[in-house]
Amino acid sequence: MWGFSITKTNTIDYDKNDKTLMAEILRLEPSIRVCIACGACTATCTAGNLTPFNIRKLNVFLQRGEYNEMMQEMGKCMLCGKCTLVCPRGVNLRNLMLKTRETLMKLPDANGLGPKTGYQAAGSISQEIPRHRSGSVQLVNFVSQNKSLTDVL
Amino acid sequence: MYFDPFVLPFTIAMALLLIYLLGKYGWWIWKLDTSDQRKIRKNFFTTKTLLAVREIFGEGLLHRKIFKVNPRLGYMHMSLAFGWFLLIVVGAIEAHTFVKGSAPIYFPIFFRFFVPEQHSFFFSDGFTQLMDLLLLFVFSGLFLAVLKRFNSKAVGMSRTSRKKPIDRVVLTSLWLIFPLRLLAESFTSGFYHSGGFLTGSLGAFLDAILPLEHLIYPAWWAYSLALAGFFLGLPFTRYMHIPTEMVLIFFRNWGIKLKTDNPVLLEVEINSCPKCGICIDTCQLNSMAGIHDTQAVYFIQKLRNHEQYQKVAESCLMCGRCENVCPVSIDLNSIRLMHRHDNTPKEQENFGFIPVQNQTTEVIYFAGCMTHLTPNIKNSMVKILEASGDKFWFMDEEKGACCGRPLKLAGQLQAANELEERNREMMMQSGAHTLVTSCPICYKTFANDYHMNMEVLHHSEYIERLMQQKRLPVEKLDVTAVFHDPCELGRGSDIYEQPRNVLKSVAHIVESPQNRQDGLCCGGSLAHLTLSLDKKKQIAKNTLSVLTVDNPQVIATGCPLCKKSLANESTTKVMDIAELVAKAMVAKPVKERVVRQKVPVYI
Repeated sequence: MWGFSITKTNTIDYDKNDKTLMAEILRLEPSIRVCIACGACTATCTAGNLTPFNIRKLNVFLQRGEYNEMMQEMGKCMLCGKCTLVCPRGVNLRNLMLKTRETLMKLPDANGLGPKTGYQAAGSISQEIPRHRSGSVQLVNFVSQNKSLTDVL
Repeated sequence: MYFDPFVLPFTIAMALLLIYLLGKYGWWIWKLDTSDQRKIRKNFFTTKTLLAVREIFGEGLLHRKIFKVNPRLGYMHMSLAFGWFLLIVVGAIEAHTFVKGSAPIYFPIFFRFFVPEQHSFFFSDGFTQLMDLLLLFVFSGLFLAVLKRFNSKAVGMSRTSRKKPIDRVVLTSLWLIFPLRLLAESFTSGFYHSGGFLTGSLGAFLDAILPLEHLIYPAWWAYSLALAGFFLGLPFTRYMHIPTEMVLIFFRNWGIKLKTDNPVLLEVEINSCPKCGICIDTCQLNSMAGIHDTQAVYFIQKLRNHEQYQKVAESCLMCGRCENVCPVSIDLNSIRLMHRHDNTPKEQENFGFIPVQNQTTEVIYFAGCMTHLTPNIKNSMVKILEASGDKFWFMDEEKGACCGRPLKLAGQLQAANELEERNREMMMQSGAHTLVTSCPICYKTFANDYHMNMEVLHHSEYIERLMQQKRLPVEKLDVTAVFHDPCELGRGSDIYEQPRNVLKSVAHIVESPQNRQDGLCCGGSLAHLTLSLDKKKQIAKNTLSVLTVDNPQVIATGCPLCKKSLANESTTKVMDIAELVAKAMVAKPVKERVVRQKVPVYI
């Protein structure tokens, strides 16, 4: 109004941030709990060598429940598996990236068409083999009810 | 006219089964896409059809492949399948020789009932004895089959597949068919004083203690009912593999391949799985990591029963050991791979950050991601390439991307394609005639998926060639080395001899008990998405214990991932063959070496 505006806050509000997705991802790949954030994964990362792609940062975003940033980054991973090999704590980071991608893609706002099996994605869809979508129904319901999450996405 | 009401169950069941099978197979052929249908039309009247018939005979009846894996199991199944086949064929010949013309379809099956007395027609005695001999042959297999059901170790299987209730019902009726046939024929022979060495003597014995007159008829009824039960249950159980395997063999010989957008061959393969369970014993997840629910047989079963399969689809090393022993040669890895979820973010350039590099060269060296984790390998390769005198470009020395196969192994086919495109463009512009890679994972995808107009070589092939052309003078090192076959290089790309030839000229080679096609996985496979670190270690340890049976000084391998996984657990030194070769190289004078220039990178 007066030519001034309030700077966007940098506060991370753990109460507002939605951690449902984090819980789902942790369920799918529990080994991330032992991460000590040493950054070895980021140091060795093939994509990280070429672009500011940072697995450790993604982990932090995940723990905080900030999915917006993750959405843009997750497609950069080439799943080469070096991060998993160098991790001193034995975290299966490759699967973490894969499962994060999968879980985020299930959101209605995701810029993909949702999970498909390889052969459904490639061509005509067969009815004979059912698509498995564990947990997707609950997730979608939650997203439509919870305003904070839809705001974030 | 030969007729009796007891033939009805068999005849009706047989007719129903035939109608069902013809309908199903007709539907499959109709649903094939036009290119596949054209293939069938083109190849139908060629030798390919004859080759398929030969394969059906060799694999479907004689079971050469099972014999190779497990002779006792091979004999068991061969005596049942081939024995029963011969019973039907010889029985039909016998019956038609007797009537000298056409007869109802059930007539040969129940020949002894309709013709109980010993007649003298052409070779009649011979037929009787031969049929008894064949029945005995089937019984020997049946005995093993029953034994296997109670103790699978007796036929050399430590685990067999779990069965559904309907499988058990149909299995029981299959088992009953042959004893009931023996009883029915023996009763008849005993009563009429005819029959061969088996049915005749058993009949004579039973005639003395039982009122056979009243038993003949019920026995034939029971035999017919057992046959009917088996035929009616067949489409709903694993026994569907008997007719479907033939369709699969024809399709395969006519050149029809598994397709991502046409599920017909997938359906045929799923229905061809006999659930024999040979893939269970050979799976390292079963034998070394204590995971018992993910083997190929269970995965195929889940697909067939329309159960949730994602977890099982992801839990596989894709080492190819099961594919290697599968008696039906089902494309187990491909089927699993096409059922992994593709979560590639769409409508977005995912790998736009990969810098475009321009460089003209003759030989491209692509180390691969994993090789960058084992710098000794790439340093050795650079040394070898420099010594070779070839003009080469170390493509991923600083700003390299991944080859795309890890994405493909995780089911991310769209993303893999994008990455492939980017790499291919850079490789094609260089004008190189050869692409050398140190990583079998990269090698497989470069060779199979990139479709480039250049020769793709694994470094073992490249080094072997250099040695053959005497461009790489080496002195044999005084070490004993065992070669560990990497899955992607051995079973994946059929390269077994080249690395061994290289190893022979730099070290004293010893062979591990499980090598070549039977080589073990190091446990580090990128194909398994969810395996935990301790299970990986467990597999590596077990593999190492097999590799080091003869106490070699060095474990040599051709894969950076194998090297890394094994070296973490090994007390024996693990080295790539490139490292051994670099060590064994006779140093050239410095001035002769090609001086390599740093490649400028343009982003």
